[in-house]
Amino acid sequence: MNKLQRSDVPTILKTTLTLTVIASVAALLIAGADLLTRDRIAANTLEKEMSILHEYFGEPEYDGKSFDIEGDDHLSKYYVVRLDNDELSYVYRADGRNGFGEISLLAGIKEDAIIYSVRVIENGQSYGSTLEDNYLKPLYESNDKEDALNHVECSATSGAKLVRKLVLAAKEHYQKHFMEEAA
Amino acid sequence: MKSKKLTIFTNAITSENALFVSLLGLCPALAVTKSIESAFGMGVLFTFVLLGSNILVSSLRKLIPDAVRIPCYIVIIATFVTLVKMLANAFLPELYSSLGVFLSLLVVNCVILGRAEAFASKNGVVDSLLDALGNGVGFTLAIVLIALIREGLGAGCITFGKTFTFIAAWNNGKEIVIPLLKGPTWDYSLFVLINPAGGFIVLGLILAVLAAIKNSKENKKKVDAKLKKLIAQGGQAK
Repeated sequence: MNKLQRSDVPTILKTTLTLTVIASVAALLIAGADLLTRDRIAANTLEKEMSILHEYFGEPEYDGKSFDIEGDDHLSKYYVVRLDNDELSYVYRADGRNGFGEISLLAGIKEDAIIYSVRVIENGQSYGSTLEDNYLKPLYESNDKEDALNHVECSATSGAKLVRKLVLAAKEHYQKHFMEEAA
Repeated sequence: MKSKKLTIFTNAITSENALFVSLLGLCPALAVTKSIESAFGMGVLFTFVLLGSNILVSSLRKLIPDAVRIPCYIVIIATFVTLVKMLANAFLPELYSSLGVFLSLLVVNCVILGRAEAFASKNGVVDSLLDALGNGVGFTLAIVLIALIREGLGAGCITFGKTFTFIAAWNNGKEIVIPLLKGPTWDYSLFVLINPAGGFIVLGLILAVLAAIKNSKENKKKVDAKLKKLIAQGGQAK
């Protein structure tokens, strides 16, 4: 192994400086783009969420205002939604990540902790289309969501398990906070 | 000099097309060619990343140490991919959703890294810009052609306005649907072409057609050369 010579130091310094400058410029460009697009992306995400909420869950109460959830790994907020039969339900926004990517979804829970609707907002899984075709579509079409959630063996099992975990987290929160309070 | 610069641009589209000649960038070419809009969107974003990375790599080619050039190229390409992702998410959210993980995969796209290493690191900024533009246009045309066949014959109709919603907005909120093999009461679409296997089949067929055209041109040249020789020999004999 060659020993480090005094003459190597300028080369090493030049390499280090070049790499530092490239990384710094890259970081600045990305930070600038983030500043430019952050609000727009947040607005787009909210618009998509509200559109899915209206279409698949029902009309939200309190003028569409959401209620934040603190201290949960997956649940960030919930909406109060009135169903067709005048029953109140709670629609949770859940976000999770596994080795294959991120998933964000809305899960609707109604009286007696029944899961009445699930919709994925963002499917960032590598096997996203497989997850969509083999697990999510049957889940959307099923009348018994809790049973359909358990059919995770679908060639995108990791993603399916993540979806199940997020929906059950929503159900658990409902049971803990709304069923116990009512009791 | 002018023709050399034009040659760099045109060669990248035709005789050195990244997809049809070098068979590079197959991943996005097969994954996002289920619809023309997604393919066109991917092509435009791909061109933007390639332009940015080629220009920057060419500008810094004398500063980047040889031993760490590949990691430097990856950092530069990843920066532009991140910028493109953020901009697409903000201003073209439907395109961003339809491209999914394949937009992020541009970081390791063979064409982008290959052009940085093979051309931009060895040539000036203007030449690198032309090379990037040519490769971007060539790649976009190639994947749009594949998408045209897959969507037209596989889905049975070509739809505009689903990903680029401004087209639907321009058409009173309705998507523009051009029926080809599928109509309101009939369906002769070749569904296999929409599947992943169909992507390979379409690509194979296009490559076969291009090879046939190239072979016939080469055969014609050989036949013309032989005829000229025979005519010359016949003239000498007289």
